[in-house]
Amino acid sequence: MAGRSDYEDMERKLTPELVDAILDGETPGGNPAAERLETILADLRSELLLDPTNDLAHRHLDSMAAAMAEVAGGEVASERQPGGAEIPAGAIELTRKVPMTLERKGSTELASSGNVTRLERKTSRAFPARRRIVGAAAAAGVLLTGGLAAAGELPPPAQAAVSKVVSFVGIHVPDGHDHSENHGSDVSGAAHHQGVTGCEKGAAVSATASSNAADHRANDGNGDSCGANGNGAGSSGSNNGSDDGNAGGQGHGNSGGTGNGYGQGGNPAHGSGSGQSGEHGSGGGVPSGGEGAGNAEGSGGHQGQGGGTTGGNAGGSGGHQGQGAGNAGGSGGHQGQGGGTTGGNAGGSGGHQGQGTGNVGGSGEHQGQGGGATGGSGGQEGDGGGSGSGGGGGSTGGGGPSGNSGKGDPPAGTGGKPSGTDPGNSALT
Amino acid sequence: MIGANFPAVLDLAQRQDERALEVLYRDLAPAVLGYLRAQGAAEPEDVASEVFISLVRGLGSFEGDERAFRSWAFTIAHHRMVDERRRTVRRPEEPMELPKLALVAGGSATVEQEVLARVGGTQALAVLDSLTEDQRAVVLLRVLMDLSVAEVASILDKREGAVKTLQRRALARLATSVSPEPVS
Repeated sequence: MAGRSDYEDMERKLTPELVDAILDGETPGGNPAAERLETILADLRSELLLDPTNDLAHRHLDSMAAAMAEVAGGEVASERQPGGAEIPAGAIELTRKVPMTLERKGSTELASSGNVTRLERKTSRAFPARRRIVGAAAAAGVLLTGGLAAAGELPPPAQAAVSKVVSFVGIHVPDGHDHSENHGSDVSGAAHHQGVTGCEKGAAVSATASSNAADHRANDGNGDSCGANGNGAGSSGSNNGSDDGNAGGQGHGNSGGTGNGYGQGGNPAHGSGSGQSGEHGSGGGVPSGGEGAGNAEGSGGHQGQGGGTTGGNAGGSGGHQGQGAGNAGGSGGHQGQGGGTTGGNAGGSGGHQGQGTGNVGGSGEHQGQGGGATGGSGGQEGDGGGSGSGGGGGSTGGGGPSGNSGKGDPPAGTGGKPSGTDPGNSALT
Repeated sequence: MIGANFPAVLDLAQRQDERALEVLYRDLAPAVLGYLRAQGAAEPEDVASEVFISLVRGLGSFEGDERAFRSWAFTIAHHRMVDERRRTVRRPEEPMELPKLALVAGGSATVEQEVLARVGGTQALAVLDSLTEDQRAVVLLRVLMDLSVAEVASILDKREGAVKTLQRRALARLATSVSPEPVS
């Protein structure tokens, strides 16, 4: 085979020196085949050694620059960030190294390989632990609150709230306002008690009447000793009173130190100050000098007075010549006064010559006065209506200083002094 | 060849001077691209890009003269070419249609010109088809880069004697394929 023999001949003749000469382009003359080989190789050089196009060169150079920046620590990469923000090297490393899916699976292979930077698990267990703690605390709070509520030992607002809530599910819990259903008779009993007289009796009646007010009283009154610092506060006509009617000054005495007893209709014999009657004692306290909130005031006995002035709640009922006052109003008996004064709501009804005052008005009957912010109705010879916070003056007494709109009949008695800071709660008959 | 300025250029390139890097690229790129093209790389430009990226990444640790540098660069090129050839074997590409070639040419050249450009030449390259891969590699490295037998042996991971045998047989094949005339 000619081809093969030619090749073998050629291979034999190509000595290492000749090969080097051909490759070096230094082929000796007189050897056409060698010269042809040299030509072929020269053509290869010329055809293969071509400069890259500019586009290709730029592409390659860009790639090299990027690689160089990567080697240098991401300088160029950060320059290419919009705004030039630098990416922390650690963040890039984390992004590259942590395969999240495997990490979530808790793969041990990756962790043991040392090539994975572990991410801390911050969320999977921390929050449930906190939730458990909070839940346990909340449960303990509920149990504690429930226990206290069942015992009626919570503060009154909280006790009332709990009572209201649990009442929807049929559970009875004291609401903090569970007072005696026979409060009036209790007060009356105290008033009719023969064992004590005078100031002490008034104090006893007042204390009884005010027993429910303690829940609402912000502080105790600044009462002084029994009768010593009594203020004359209106008077009442004896004609309208009982046998022990108030002839003169009546006590605005201090009853029991649980507030300024708003004694009304005291026995003149008790002199100034005490005024707190025996049978005509009054119930009710007016904390903080008459402007406070006497709450849940009770009822006085004859010529007694129940109720506070400003914001008195629950009112009370006065007996004869009594006075009931409070937000819930009260009913006065004969010559009594019902109703609150400044904040007396729901009015009250006075009996004969009584006075009913309150924001919602009240109704006085004979010679009574009903008054209040939204009016009231007067009874015979009485005045109805009136506005303002002052309420009306007593039917036979003088109006209080704040009782601007109150009108009273001419005093039937000798009293009629303003009651000072006690607007509209001035006088009974 | 860069010559006497090579140490300074290399030093600047190792300090990430882009101009020095471009000098090195301009010096090596024709031979690298020609080598890859003549070896039949499917995408010689892309493979060349990988070569130069690898070169940049290893530049900081390189020590040696220009000949060593060129030898190192072609070691990388040869390895990338082998990798690319293996990838091509695993995922053989279908021949590109002529209209697509026209698109690749961007309308600036004829299809024939583009084909010739992609295969890297005309008759001279055609004669390389008669050589085995190793023979072709030896010839190209010896001819294009003026590398010594020892350097080629290092690149191809062969003994020098084997390289000498390969180059002798390669030249004999070329001589007989081009000219029937015996070497005198």
